[in-house]
Amino acid sequence: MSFINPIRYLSQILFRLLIWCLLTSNFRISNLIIGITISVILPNLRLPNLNLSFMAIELLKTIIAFPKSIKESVDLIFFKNKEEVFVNQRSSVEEDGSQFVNFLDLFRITLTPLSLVTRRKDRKSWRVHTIRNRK
Amino acid sequence: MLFLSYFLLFIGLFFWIWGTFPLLIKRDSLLYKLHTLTVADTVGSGLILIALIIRDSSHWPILLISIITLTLWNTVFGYLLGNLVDN
Repeated sequence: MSFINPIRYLSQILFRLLIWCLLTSNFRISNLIIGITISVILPNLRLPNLNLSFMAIELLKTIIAFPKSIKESVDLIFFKNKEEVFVNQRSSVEEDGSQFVNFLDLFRITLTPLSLVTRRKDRKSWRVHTIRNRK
Repeated sequence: MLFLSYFLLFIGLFFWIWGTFPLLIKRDSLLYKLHTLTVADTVGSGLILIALIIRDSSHWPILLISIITLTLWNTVFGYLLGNLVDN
């Protein structure tokens, strides 16, 4: 596909520039120019089926998962009778949906200490290993 | 501020020790060990790095990159090992 969505292109450039600035930890104009040049030169990402607004929501959910993982660690430490079970959890997109959103979904579930994705159960759900507190 | 930094540092160290200890216990399953290692590596190391950002804020970009890469690789390898165990 030759046509590139301008918003997507701009966000891609900004994302690369952000990584460049973090890596070099230098915000001077000359360094910014080098960063912009490099982010333009690098080949375009091919991410089919990617809806930008949907992706933004998924990214926000992933950021929320970080504080949640601290809470779940404390939970895991104070569980008295631990029980390990496999559950099937619905994924936010189907298997052939956007690869990036699939990755974010997997990342979000595996990041928290109480749940760990082991594989795909079927097209719509993950097989997740979780730890529960037995009543 | 220094107190907060120490507080986070010690909580991170506690998570490290608590999360690594099950590696020595034979009766725990491999997947349970992966769960506790998530506590140690992702959350514990993350808290320690946040404590370092508070202490030495001039180096925040490189510490932020470390937090991002640590969580990314820990999670990806957690999934990889979990996948191998389940198969």
